[in-house]
Amino acid sequence: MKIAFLSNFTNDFIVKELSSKLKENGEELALYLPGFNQINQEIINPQSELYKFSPEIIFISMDYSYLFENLLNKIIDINVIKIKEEIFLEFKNFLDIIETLLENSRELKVFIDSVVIDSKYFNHLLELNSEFSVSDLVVRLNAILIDFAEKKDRITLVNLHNVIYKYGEKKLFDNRLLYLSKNKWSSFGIRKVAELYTRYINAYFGKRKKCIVLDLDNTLWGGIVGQDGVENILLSNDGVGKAFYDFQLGLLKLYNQGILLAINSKNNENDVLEALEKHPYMVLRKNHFSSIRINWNNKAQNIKEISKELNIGIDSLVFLDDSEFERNLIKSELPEVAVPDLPDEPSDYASFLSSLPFFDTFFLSKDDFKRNKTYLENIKRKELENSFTDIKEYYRSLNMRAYISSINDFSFSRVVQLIQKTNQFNMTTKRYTESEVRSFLTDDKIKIFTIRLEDKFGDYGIIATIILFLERESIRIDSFIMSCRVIGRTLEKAILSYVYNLGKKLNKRSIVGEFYPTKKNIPAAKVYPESGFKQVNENTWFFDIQNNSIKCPEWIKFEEEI
Amino acid sequence: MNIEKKIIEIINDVIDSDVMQDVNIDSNSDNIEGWDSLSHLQIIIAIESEFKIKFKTSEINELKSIKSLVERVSELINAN
Repeated sequence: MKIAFLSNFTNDFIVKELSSKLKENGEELALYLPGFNQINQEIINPQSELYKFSPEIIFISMDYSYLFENLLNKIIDINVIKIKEEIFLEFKNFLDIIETLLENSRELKVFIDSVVIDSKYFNHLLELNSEFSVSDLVVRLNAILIDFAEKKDRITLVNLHNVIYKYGEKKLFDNRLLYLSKNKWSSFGIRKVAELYTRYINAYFGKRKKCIVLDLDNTLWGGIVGQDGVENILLSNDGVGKAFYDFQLGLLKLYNQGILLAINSKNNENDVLEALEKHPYMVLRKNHFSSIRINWNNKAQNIKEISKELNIGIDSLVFLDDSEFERNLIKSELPEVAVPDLPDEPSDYASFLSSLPFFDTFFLSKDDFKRNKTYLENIKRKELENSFTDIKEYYRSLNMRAYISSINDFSFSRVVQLIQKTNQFNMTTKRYTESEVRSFLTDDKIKIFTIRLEDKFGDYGIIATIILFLERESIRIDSFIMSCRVIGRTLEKAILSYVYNLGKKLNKRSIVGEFYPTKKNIPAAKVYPESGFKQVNENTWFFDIQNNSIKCPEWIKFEEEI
Repeated sequence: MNIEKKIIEIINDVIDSDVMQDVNIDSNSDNIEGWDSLSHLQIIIAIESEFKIKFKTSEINELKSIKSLVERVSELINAN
């Protein structure tokens, strides 16, 4: 690794700490660190030592309080607007220099500190309430910086704010060092900033861990499932058990970013599977785990097997276990595995997890995010459902909006997918091929509709389709298919109500529905009788439009969409 | 606790020079290579955190010998 640092303060302490950290991890390291305030000279001169060193990455390590010191000291002034303009101008000059750096170097990755101004420059109650406010200046400078960096993929901003929020100036700064050496960071602060920089370096060089191997008892939940029983383990969305629930949510967040989860537990498999499947507050279910080892074997042996099964290196694993004995075992037998010490106090698990430096990345692809988005929304729905005793109240609270439209170019492939893949809510399970569906489009006696659902938690997209054959006196429902994700929301009734209204409009006498049972479509068995259809033979149901009606449930707003 | 021994250990840690240097009670910033103004501050903060004490800004640059460090650290520990 070749890393350069440019700074407007004495950042030797930070760099020294950083380099000893990286060397501890066995990194080959070459550093370039000119004296403080050499930023402009090093960047502008194409022959400078900086370019000769040709670093892979560079940190622009800034004390912005120091950069703007003279102006900040003048801010209580009748001409405050002008002073602020000068600050913006100064900042623009700084960004111009960075621009030059990008021009003078082809591949270099640039990290820039976010704008932090020390609180001693803040003007007490004038802050936020007057033009003498420095806080709004900080916000605006950061907005400019973010805007600047957004358009340049070689620049990544270092979130220095996070360190200040978390630990506070009092612990992070040492005024004696500021006056003795032009470095404001205390020894603690130096350590924290170095840690932060290390995270960016590791993320840049792709040192992201791939999998978290988890213990279960007293890690994923409180108590011992084999002894206490599934119903007595500590795990809930309220009170002390929420600590474990929140920890699981944290793990789920990592899972949604593409981090694999695995189980390594000394237990009876059946107890665990029961807990994973049945416990109402279990956030992580069996299908979240890519590899599961529940047995009484040596945990190091299990980890080796997990690594083999997932085909990832031992060094891309993180092991979390509340037992010091097990942690020490892994530390000594498999030193490549990252084994952070889980805190003694489960209340600290979630914040501990979020502070781990192993899963850092500068960006998430849209696909990473979207894949599991619906899952998260479903957790919230489930939570909401659990908090209601009256199901109608629950439906009302969901604020459901359904949109029906005729099949079109955009929805065509989704309709085919629903036809071919849906097992549970599928009345006739007719697996039409793509070309068969296409042939329907030219037949004006056949109508295909798609239904899209939104609720207060999100947009499901297209989750249902219905194929109607218009006959002389009736509408025959040839296919009626709904994704399992939206079963149990009375949406089927709303759709049938739409069919009923269509029948009325077209002066039909009846609706004919069919139901062909399969091994899997039991959830759809009662749809027709529950909506007032009468059975005429084994598979056929009949609805008399002229003498009956089907109402859309009041909690679903159902609209046509073009 | 042997204050002198601990301070020498800290100085050796911070200075991390290639050549083995004999740091002893008579050593000071003039006869130890690498004991410059920056490493001096590192020595100071390392001593502070080791002995849980705090030096005044004005005295820090006066403490550039093992002897003066040992004396001052003893005073501060006894004052605690």
